[in-house]
Amino acid sequence: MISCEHLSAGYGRKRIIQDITWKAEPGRLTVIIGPNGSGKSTLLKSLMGQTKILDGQIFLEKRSLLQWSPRETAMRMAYVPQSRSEGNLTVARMVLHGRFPYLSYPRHYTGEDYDKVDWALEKMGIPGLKNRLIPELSGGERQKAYLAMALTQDTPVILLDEPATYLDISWQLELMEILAGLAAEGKAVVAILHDLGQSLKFADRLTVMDQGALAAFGTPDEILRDQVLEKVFGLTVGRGVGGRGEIHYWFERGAGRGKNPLYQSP
Amino acid sequence: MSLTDLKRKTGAEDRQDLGRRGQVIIWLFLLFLLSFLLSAAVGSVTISLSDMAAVLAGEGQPMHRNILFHIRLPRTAACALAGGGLAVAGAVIQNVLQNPLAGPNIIGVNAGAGLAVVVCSYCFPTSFGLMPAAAFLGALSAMLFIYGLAKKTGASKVTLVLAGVSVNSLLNAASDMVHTFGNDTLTSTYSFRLGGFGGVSVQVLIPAGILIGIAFLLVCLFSNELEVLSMGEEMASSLGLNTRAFRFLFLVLAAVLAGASVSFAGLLGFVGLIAPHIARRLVGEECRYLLPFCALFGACFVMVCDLAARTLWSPYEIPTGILLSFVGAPFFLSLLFRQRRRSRHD
Repeated sequence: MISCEHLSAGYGRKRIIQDITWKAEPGRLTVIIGPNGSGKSTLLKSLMGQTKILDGQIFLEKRSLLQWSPRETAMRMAYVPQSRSEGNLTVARMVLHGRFPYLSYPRHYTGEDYDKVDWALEKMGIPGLKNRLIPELSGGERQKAYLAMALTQDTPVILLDEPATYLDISWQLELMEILAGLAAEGKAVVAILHDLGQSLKFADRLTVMDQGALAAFGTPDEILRDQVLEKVFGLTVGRGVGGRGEIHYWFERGAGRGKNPLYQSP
Repeated sequence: MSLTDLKRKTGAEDRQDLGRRGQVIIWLFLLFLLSFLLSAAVGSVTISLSDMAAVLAGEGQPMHRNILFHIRLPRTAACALAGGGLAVAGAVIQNVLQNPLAGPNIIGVNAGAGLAVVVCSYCFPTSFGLMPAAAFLGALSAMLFIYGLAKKTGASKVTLVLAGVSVNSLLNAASDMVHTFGNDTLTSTYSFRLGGFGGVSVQVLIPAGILIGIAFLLVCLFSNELEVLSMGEEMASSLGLNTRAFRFLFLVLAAVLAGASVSFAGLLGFVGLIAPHIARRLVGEECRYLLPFCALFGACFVMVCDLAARTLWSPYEIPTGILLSFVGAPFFLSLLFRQRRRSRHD
């Protein structure tokens, strides 16, 4: 579990997020949303210890983040970057580096580490990509490789920075199912997302950031009930039930435009 | 297929792949031995293998003995050390800066070492042991300057190369000025600028060789760290790597490798750029294969170029650096164009 209390942080002396009290619990998919520049990434980077903490505290498993060594932190918290290509390693080799925090002298990966890689690739459904190079992969495949790496890191917390950004819609949906699945297995999964509909549908907890502050934190139902999205994004939000009983959300620019005739609002 | 079957299969693939890259390195090692022998044997006086064996056994002709111990072996060893040192320095710099266009000669690291060597030999003409240390300081200063520049301005990969051009010409101008005011003869300036092994002395070679050896072993010891660092700052620190400390360590080690090489070989160009690229093609990005490959390839490449420079135009001998530039500059151009095309597509 990772949490923060009255956290203010930024880069240098510049304060970007203010007074944030928040937590991500095991077994839950906690999604962070907010307009551009609202401090989502800064919050995530602060949780990883990559910003300057100006006030307040971050707790990882009830202990201040500052009290863990970088290696100890890496054994408890994994990070999945935006889908971009850095380095030119094979998938297997990159995923293997998920075991990097566990390396001890003489600094060689063991058979157990290699087994963990096979297990993670299998779990993400990409054992066939093992010997491919990372830059050769499609965005979706790459994201799965990064997820496999986070799995080999074997951490109770996984942070994802806009994991869906460069993915087409079917990969996005698959990604959301994977994230929900990881949460269901007991991990605390934290992701920054842009798609409000998917966030409302898949998240167990929604974090809404606005201008560096926490606008709201709660279940999607609570967020909808309190009309947070309307205020923060300047939207009209509606919810309807489709023909198969599934729930749809719709969004329109500008608050208070009234009800969309296509859907029956509850 | 059951999971265990699958595991066994992928495990076998692993081993096979390991074998292929291992084989490449063994072949390269054989090539290294061959180039070494050839370089020691061939020249204005050719010493046959049997003569060489006789000399090594303490017999043989005194002339062969003199040539072998005082000219050929130091020169061949110098080629191998400088080639290996610059190639590994290039691989480390490219990984740390995450820039495939960076090489110790491109970004001004060699020129920094060169200036320091020139100043050092001007101020302390007889202290040979001091040269590698001075070269290291010069290389490190140039490296940190370029790194700071890249970091501060967020410069693109090509911009960094352009910055290197200006740093290079600035440092070389400073070297030339020291030469002009110093009492050095024109020929030594000339051969130092071009890079070559004409006047290699054992007194400089030994301390430089020890430094190169130690730095190479340290880089290999931390090859996993180097690989993790090349995956990007955020990723590396999320894996628990102290990125600042290790980046600094690697830049220092690269400066040791490049500086020590320059201290006796002069401004040898392009080895540090070419070797890592060929290594990536043949053994991939994994540092535990990449680094030994670079060391061996760099050594072979410089030994062969030096041999060619000594013998092809005999009785004339051209500086090795000229030959390296003839091979290296077109290679760099092709790389630059490929890089441009890729960045346009990104």
